[in-house]
Amino acid sequence: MRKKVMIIDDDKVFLEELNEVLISGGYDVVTVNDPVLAFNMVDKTKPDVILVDMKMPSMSGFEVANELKNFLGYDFIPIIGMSGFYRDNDISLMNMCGIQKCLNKPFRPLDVIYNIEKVMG
Amino acid sequence: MKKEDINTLVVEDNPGDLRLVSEMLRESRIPVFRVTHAGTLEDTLKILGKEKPDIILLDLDLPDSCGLESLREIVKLAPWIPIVVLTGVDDENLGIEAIQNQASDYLVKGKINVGMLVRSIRYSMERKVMEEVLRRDREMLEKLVNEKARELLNVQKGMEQAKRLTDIGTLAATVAHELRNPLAVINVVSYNLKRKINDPDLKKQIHIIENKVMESDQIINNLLFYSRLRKPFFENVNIQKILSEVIELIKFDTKNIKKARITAKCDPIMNTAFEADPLQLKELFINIVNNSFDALADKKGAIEIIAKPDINKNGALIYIKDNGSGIDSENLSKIWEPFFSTKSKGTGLGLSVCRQIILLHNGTIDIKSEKGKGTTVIVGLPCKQIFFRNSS
Repeated sequence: MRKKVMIIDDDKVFLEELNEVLISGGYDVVTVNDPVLAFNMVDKTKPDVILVDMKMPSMSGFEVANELKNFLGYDFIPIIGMSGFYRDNDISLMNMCGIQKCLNKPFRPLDVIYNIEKVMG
Repeated sequence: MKKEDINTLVVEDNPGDLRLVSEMLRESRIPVFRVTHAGTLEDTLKILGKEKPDIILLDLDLPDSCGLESLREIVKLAPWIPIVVLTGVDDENLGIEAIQNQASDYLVKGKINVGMLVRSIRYSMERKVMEEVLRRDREMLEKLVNEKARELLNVQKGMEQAKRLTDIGTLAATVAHELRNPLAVINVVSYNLKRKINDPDLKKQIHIIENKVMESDQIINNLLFYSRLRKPFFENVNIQKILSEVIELIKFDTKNIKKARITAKCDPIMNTAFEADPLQLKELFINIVNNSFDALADKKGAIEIIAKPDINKNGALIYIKDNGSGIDSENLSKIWEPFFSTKSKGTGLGLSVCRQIILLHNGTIDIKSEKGKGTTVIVGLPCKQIFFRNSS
């Protein structure tokens, strides 16, 4: 059965391109452009793994993860962050918010697939 | 001549007045006044060149000088001797003016007695001592204030420098983040393009785009590190673990897979904990090993990493050896300069970043190279930072 990946990113172009990468990798993809809508979408689509951009205008990746894991009860869905800032690699903060791994931009698309497989176990 | 005796120089040209003053002084038993006399300013100055009276009684009306001129001359020559000025009845204003010109006291001739004279002399001597103390204190205060001002100026310069660095750091971080976003998009788009193309030439060109993206990222990293090089966050690290992580990272970089064989050999002693910043150490070794790969160019070569204890110091020596193209002896001294590079790509910041990191770790770095044969980089790291902590 195809695994479902949700991508949350405020950059529409990036979202589309990453969507194409993941579909070619054999995944079903759900894209979310506005993080505020992510929680509803998680409830509706029940993804197996979530990719989230760490720096978005309305919400940070940390906040999204924190909300999902600590308030909405989705702590069984692995979350991978995508970041342009080294500071986002703060391991203690990542642990607190339930982010398993942070990919540093610019990353190789193959690295995304490698890490998705890795966190899903 | 007893120490408690007071050497008194009476400067008076009128014999009658002189006799009066001398007799008054002779009456005093405690203290005893030893009196010398001068009748002109010229004589006075001569005496002052040879002797050191404790007090001067000065008549302002002298044959070779008048008014405050004699006072000024004497003060100029011997500023540490208290002077009591003797004025005529009509000259009280002059007396006050004299005090304003460094005289310690004034007395009106014809209106003095022994008691007043002695009191005035003793008062003037005490006052002079206090003036000396005050003057010395003021000098010391001035010196202290100057020192403190200099220190403050240095601190201020340091803070301005730190602020400038912080501003650059903040700017660099912002720019880096901004740049990384479009770079990430380019990378993903290239990947998608490559998948849809069969033409090998086109595929090759897209591969070039991907490489340039990664190169740009490395430039950003170097720039960030250079502008934001912070004091290391010292932790207990295992050098062997760091080196294996570095090798893993390098091997994972697909452009390196085909090229060279990379091996690491660590002396078992390397398992002891070293106080170092793991992020900075990784950056250091990644930079050095990447340089080795660049030197290997198209040849299939070997990179050897050897870590062993430094027998002379309590630390380790890490050798990174390649059999690549080597460095020209004329370039060997320049390689540490920021932005110096013989390569067509890269910023040329790599080695200066390495050197900064080594300096921050109180370590050493040395490069031995022979053109055409290869290069060996030797990194020395102390085991403990504790001895260096206070010096920063």
